Amino acid sequence: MISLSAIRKTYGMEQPLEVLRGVSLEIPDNDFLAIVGPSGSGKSTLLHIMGLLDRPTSGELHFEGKNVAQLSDDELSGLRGSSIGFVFQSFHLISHLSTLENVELPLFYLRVPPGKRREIARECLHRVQMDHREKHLPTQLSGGECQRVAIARSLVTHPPLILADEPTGNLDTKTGSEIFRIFTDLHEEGHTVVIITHDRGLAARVPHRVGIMDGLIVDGGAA
Amino acid sequence: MIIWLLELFRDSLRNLVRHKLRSSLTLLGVIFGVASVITMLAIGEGAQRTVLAEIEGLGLKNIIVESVRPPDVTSSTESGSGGSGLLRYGVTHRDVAQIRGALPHLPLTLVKDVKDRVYCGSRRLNVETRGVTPEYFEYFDSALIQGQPLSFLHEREAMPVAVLTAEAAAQLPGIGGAVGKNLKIGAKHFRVIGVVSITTRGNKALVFIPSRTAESQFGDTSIKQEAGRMEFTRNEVGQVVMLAGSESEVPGVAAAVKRIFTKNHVDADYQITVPLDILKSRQRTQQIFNFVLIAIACISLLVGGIGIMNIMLAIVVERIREIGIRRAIGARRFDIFMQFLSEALTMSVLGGILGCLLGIGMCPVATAWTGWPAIINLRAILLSFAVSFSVGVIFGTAPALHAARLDPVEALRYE
Ligand SMILES: Nc1ncnc2c1ncn2[C@@H]1O[C@H](COP(=O)(O)OP(=O)(O)O)[C@@H](O)[C@H]1O
Ligand SMILES: [Mg+2]
Repeated sequence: MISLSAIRKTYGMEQPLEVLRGVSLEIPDNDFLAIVGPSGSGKSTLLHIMGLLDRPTSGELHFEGKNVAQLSDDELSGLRGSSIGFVFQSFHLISHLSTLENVELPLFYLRVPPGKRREIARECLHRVQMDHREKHLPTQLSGGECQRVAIARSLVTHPPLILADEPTGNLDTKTGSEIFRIFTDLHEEGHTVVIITHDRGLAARVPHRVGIMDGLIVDGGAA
Repeated sequence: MIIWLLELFRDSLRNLVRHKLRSSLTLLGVIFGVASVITMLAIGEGAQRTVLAEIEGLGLKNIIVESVRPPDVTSSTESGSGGSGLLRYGVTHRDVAQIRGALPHLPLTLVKDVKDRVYCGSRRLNVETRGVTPEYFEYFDSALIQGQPLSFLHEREAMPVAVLTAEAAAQLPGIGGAVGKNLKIGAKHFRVIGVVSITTRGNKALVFIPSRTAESQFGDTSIKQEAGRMEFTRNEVGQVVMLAGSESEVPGVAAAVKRIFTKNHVDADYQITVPLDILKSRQRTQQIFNFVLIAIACISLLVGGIGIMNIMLAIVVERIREIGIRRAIGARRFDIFMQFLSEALTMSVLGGILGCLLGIGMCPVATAWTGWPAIINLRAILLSFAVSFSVGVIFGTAPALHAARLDPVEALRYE
């Protein structure tokens, strides 16, 4: 699915900060990978690079066999829209759009006609048991409910890859556990899932784990 | 594609409605700009048509030479025949004979001015009296309103009859129509036989009597008593009106007439009026006027456009995170660009539509104010529509480009 080799990422010009210092990682199809590491170690940066939101400063990234460096900005946007689903710690729902409209949005950018869009979005909301709240605004939902909607949005294009950046970070343990459950189900259904988490308990339930420290991969298996 | 555009438009509208106050304040700039363009163009058009109709009523093939009393009385030609002097001025029979000689086929008619006071009963009328031939009315855009016109019989027999313009008829005392009433011009009695409408400069109140009646009853000399001093003036021909064969012959005829008069007259005791020339200069003035209007319109729309740009830049900053989210879930730069451009366009076009409506609504008010009719033409509406659309494009592009160029990751992290 994704292969990273010697990925480096430096932020800033005058005071350069090397956030990733040569990360190499192989993520096969239908992998379930957990990335763990302390705050500020570069996990989100790595996830953004894997998700084609950001380009590495150096190193090679292959996504589904394609060398990402050779793709244009629009091609990357297209791949994000069709092949990748993002879930963020702070949900990142658009606050003035209803639940259903938020879920539909990725399909709008794939130019799916409105009727079809609605139908697929409803299915996805049903999948995360949020179909009874489709008219509500994100501000009217609890954290767990917001995250369910965000997951529905990430699924709406049936992407092979789901990337989640601390999806349970803003939730209590019980809700977090329920949300985590959805990711395990998605993995079982055939999606490739990469999840960043702080929660060692949850990480322990993931078959493939890597640790990251100061921009470098440390012993993967350690729990 | 069309559905996509409609959806963009719907979302833009929703966003504008979400911030009603802010949007309406921004719209006001465009609304007032467009409204003033529409109203000004409509009134300009109305004013132009009014004036043009007036000039055309004077007859575009006519060349009119009027006698004018020179302003400085004492310095003028005086001959010793009687009293405290005789002032001769204006168009003479010699001028007319020379015009006839130079342009033998040119139809012309003479008007005799009568200076005597006009009374109806005991009321003095504020009118000018003119002795005219029946053809006179054919030279101008005239129509009979009441009674009968001056005929060749009246002319041949030099009958004491008069035809009034509506402005003069309105001054007659008593109820009922003007026809049948009696006038006293100087010491002579006249019967009103008709009322006509005729285009003259300044819509004067006029009394027309047969030309021969004027000649025989009043002559060329008139006497005016002023501060114990008797003043005699002599004017042979009040006006000579010439009719060119076509509009293209007018300049040639006018030049020939001008030559004759400059040769014969030292004083400025005549005035040549060429309606066609007035029309042309009027049209030039109108062009300049329109140009100024359009310039003002552009400035006001510019101000409206700057308002839109300002608010769009604020909106982009406000929605940076949303832009990041949209980019993360697959929006291309172009999608973001279009989203914000369509919001700017929605504002400017909505402002354009509302401005059109307001402008049309303001026309009656402007008409009441200026007295000119407002003529709204489709061209003005389409023009302001096109301009407000362009304003949206011009002033929406920079903020939309700014939004589209944002880095997705930085936008997502933006607080
Ligand atoms: N745009 C940026 N410019 C400068 N530094 C950045 C930028 N984005 C992230 N960083 C820095 O990179 C480091 C890694 O950030 P991040 O990948 O978010 O870490 P994690 O997700 O592991 O907490 C942090 O020290 C952060 O301050
Ligand atoms: Mg992070």
